[in-house]
Amino acid sequence: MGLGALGAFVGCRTSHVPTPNPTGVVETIFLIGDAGEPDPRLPATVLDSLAVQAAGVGSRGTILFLGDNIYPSGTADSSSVNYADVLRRLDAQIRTVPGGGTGIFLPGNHDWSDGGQGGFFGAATAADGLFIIRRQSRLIPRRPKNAGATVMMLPKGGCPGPVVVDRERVRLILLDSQWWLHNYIVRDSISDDPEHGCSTHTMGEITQAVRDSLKTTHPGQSVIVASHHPLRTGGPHGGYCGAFALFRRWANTSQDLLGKSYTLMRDSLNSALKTRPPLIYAAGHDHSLQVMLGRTSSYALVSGAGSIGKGECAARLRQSLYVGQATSGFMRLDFVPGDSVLLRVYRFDSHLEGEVYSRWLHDRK
Amino acid sequence: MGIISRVRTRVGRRPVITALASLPFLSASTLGAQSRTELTRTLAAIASTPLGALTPTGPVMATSRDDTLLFGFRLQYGSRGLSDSQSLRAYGLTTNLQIQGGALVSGTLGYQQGSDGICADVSCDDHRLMAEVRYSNNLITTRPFLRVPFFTENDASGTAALQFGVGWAEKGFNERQHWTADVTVPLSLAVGQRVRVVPFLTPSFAFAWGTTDRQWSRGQRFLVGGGITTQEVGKWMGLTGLDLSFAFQRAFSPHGTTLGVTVSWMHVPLR
Repeated sequence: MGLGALGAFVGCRTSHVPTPNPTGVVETIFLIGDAGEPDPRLPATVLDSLAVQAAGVGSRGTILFLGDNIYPSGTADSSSVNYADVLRRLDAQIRTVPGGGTGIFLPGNHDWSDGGQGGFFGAATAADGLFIIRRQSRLIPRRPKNAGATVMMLPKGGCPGPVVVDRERVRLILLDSQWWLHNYIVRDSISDDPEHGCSTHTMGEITQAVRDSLKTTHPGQSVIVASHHPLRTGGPHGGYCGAFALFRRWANTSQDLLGKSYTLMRDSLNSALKTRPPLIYAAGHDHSLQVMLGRTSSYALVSGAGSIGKGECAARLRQSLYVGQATSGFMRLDFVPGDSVLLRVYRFDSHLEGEVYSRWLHDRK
Repeated sequence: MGIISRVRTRVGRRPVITALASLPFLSASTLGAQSRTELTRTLAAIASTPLGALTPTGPVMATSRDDTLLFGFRLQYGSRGLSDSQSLRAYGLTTNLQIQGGALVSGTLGYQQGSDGICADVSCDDHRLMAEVRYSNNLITTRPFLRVPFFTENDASGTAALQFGVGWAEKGFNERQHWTADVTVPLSLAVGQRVRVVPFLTPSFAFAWGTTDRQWSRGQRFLVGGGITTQEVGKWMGLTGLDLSFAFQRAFSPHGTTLGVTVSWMHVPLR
């Protein structure tokens, strides 16, 4: 009793809050990232559980796949020997979107042909990244899906975004963060096409569009800004964990939080977000589940544990509310009338299976 | 265990920076008046600076890398028992600067006082000031690897850090002015969600110097510190950044142990 009580006191056990009546939920968003490596030798617990939950909410549900949808190098050519494996990885995710529901795939660095690390570690320059991401963008809507399901990649066609998706209770502002970090061509004549090209072409245009999207939020809407790359994380990409974490800080890799390109992106987006901070900044990239207090958003979520077997370490930061490390899982957001949002974290590993953390989220004015 | 080498040098009252720069080249002679603390000479030097007068704290808790520079404070208390129920008590106020969520630069100002009766004559000061500058950086955070009962969410992960410290103490207890320099490798395990519970060990290797106006003496010694830190205890009160540590610092000599408690707070900017 004594130690158990101490355990509960210091919060080492799962923490739950009362859940709303399902009929009172207006909108449900699922966040799952880095799900592009479903290992056929392992049980597909994460995607199966996601599919079951998404089916339960039906047409009021949206699944946000937070990038790295196809490991390791995005969508291979259809004549390639590993094309069948590309389809397998993608289809496993698309199947989780129920009839009437929506699945939105964000691009990640691996979807840009592994993105080109740059810096000390970076040999890869991924010259074909823009071409590869466009191929995935075209492929996703064409894949077989549950009847009535809608699946798409946003932002599409290698465009940086932001793309705004409005729901009754939530506004999604979606970004292709790899556009900022890619170590090769990110803009060409197709991007500049006035009719079918991108709506933004420069960093300045992107940040201004983000500001505009935040300002034009409808009353009663909560805002989620989402990209593959997080603005804060306690995982390896944040310079924590492992023997090389110390050196990665100075290695200037484009995929790490302290890399030059990444810092430029962080500073630019933070400056745009602070004009009207959103409720949530959601991302993947680090293969862990992290709920943190944000600086330019009320909360910063990292949900990059979509692939069993890829779980990684994540340091508990001062800003962390929950950290699930070396695990797989996803997050669920239930929007109820008013300004409250229920966050639930689900994880699946040898320790725990199912809901492990929940919290009512409110705008921290 | 302490090794005292003997070389005479002439050192006047020079500025602190000069003394710091010349420390590695200076060595030793015998100490002057008999210390009232009855500690061995090297240990007396270590026990008079924050390295030995206060106790080590747990590893730096990480913050987000976009926290370019955070500041915080630490209040420390340490007590070392001597013979005949005498003791040395020390108090420290530390300012911390945390850089990009990781490295910590600390400056400590402290005060050490002996118990009543530690000085038998009027020429003996029963208190002294002390100061320290310390740099600490986390080297390695391991994957979660150790299952800990009751902490069911995540396995414990380990950290190894590297610290460099330089300490100073003014004359007191009929001892000289002292300097110390140490290299410490804090090792720790961390578990817990809302509050992080971190048992830690801090093996150190320290050099100590004592000086009068004309002479330097030098010794060196291994120390082992340790304790337990509970980080983010302040979250219960809505005060992010508040930690509490209980620790010891041990040199393997009679009266070689300091026990202490530390309360630290780091300002964490939240929206």
